[in-house]
Amino acid sequence: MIDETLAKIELAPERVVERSERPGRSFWRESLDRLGENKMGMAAGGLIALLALIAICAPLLSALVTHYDPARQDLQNNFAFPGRVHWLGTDELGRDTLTRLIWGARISLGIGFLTVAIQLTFGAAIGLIAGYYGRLVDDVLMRVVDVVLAFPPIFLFIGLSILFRPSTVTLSLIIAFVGWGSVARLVRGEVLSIKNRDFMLATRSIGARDVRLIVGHLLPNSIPVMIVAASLALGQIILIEAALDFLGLGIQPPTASWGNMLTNAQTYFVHSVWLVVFPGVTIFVTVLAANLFGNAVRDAFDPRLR
Amino acid sequence: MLAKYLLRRFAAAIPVILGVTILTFLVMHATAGNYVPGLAYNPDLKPADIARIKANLGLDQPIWLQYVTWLGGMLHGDFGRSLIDGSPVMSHILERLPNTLELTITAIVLGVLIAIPLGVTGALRRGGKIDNFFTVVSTTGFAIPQFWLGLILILFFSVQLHAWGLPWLPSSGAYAAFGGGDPLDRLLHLIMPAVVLSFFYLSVWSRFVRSSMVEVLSQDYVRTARAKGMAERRVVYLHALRNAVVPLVTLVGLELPALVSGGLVVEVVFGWPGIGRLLYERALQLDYTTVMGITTFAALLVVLGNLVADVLYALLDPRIRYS
Repeated sequence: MIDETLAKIELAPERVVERSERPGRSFWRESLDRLGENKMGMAAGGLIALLALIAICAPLLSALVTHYDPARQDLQNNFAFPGRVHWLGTDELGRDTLTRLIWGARISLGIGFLTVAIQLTFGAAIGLIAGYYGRLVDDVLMRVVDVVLAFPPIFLFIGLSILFRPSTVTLSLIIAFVGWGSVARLVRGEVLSIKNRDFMLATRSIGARDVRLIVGHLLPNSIPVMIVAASLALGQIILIEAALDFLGLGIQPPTASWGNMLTNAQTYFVHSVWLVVFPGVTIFVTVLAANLFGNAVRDAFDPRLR
Repeated sequence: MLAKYLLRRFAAAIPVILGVTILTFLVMHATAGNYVPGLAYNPDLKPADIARIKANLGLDQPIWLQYVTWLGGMLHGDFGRSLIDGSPVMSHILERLPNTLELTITAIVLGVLIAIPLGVTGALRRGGKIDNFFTVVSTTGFAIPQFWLGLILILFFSVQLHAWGLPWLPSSGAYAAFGGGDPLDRLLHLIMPAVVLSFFYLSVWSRFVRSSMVEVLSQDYVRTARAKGMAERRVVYLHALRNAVVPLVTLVGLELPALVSGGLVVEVVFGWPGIGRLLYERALQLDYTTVMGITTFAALLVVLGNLVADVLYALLDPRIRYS
């Protein structure tokens, strides 16, 4: 055992030489460079950033650019065709479609990012604990994950959304309630592969406690998989949220969301096509951008693809 | 060895089944635990009568006993009763299940049948125009909201074609309300929902077949087959395709739980009388017991499905038993 350790120490200088041949580039630098080289991925990421900016500036945009309030009804101008006054037309109550789309971005992206944050935090915590402590703790926590993932997601979303009045926060919690399970599984797998490496043994042997091992070493090492999981989840969450809104089980009218705009549009789309086209295209383009960016992030960051 | 593995696998499924049922039971108890349909509407009932009715229904029992009774009922296929009309949930499930299976199985079969040629062509023409086009198609399938695609299809194939006086597709239901129900009528109703549902599947699976095919085509035995002068057609379809498609079986197997739940949004958009739409309608009426009964039923199917799949894999692939 000691001989083996000595042999490893003797090998160390060689490794240093090896490494110095390559300019000092960290994992992060390397991954970010790789991401930067992906033109399509960066364009998609830029679009998401732009949409986020639009969502944040919605009050400003509706006051200065479109000049309409998302809830203001103009019954004399309902079903207005897209044109100079209403760029993307109006709905059955004369509300401006573009303004409502801009405000809807707050809902879609807000819930998207919030859900990702919740399911990542909770899932990673459970995954770290299960993977680190192993044995009974692992068994119990993973069975809980099994239970949550056994429910068909859409059934669970609907069941939960009739129990809790849907708002931005509850809807995020509901969607994250399903999403954390797969994050926990992913992080746990990563922890299991890191746990028995030499540096963990070394840290433990100098007397580090569990918390330091988990927070100081296991967490930073599983952040790449978490980034990948987060970026791939965003598009799916936006789709689910839009579907719940469409079904009338998510964000309720009169608050404008991309999904619930389509619920109403369903009734009138025979004579007012724009009501169904614009919100749908908006959801599609946003999810497309999120997915393309997610793929680019995965290609750049996923340690398993190295 | 096999028996031991199977035993371990069964043992692992039991806590999950208990977890699923306890969770739904607690939710149901919190929402509708003490409710008896119609009781509140009958002014003639004395408190003593109400107490007796509740005692008859077992509502005065301790909660764990109620749970055990409920669990026992499910062993006999009793998934509770509707909160609204007191009808057995299982009868609704059985009534709707065939319609749902008709839709989801058609979509999955369509998905597989289209995904394989798309994936193979993409792999053979890697980087070419056709490959790029297929990539665009599947990227679209990942990002398009199913309900919106449904609306657009209805707009074109039902509304617009009808307006132009051309043959059109029915937009709602599984068969025409009057004089419908013959195979052709059902087929016409099935087309649009099945297309929407299969679009997502074929997007996922065609990418998978493509990458798996690319990998297989670079294998030594493919080179050997080519080197010995075998016709390209034979190499691709006889040797490569067979091995590229095997992993797809696993992927399709993962979708089996979706046989019951996968079509919910599509069922709602197209008014398809399946289980998903049943759950949705009951949810809108706040019929907690029916919603939870269907959910439990579907979750148990998922657990059992996974169990059966694992057992089958273990029978087919001896390596699994030892891991």
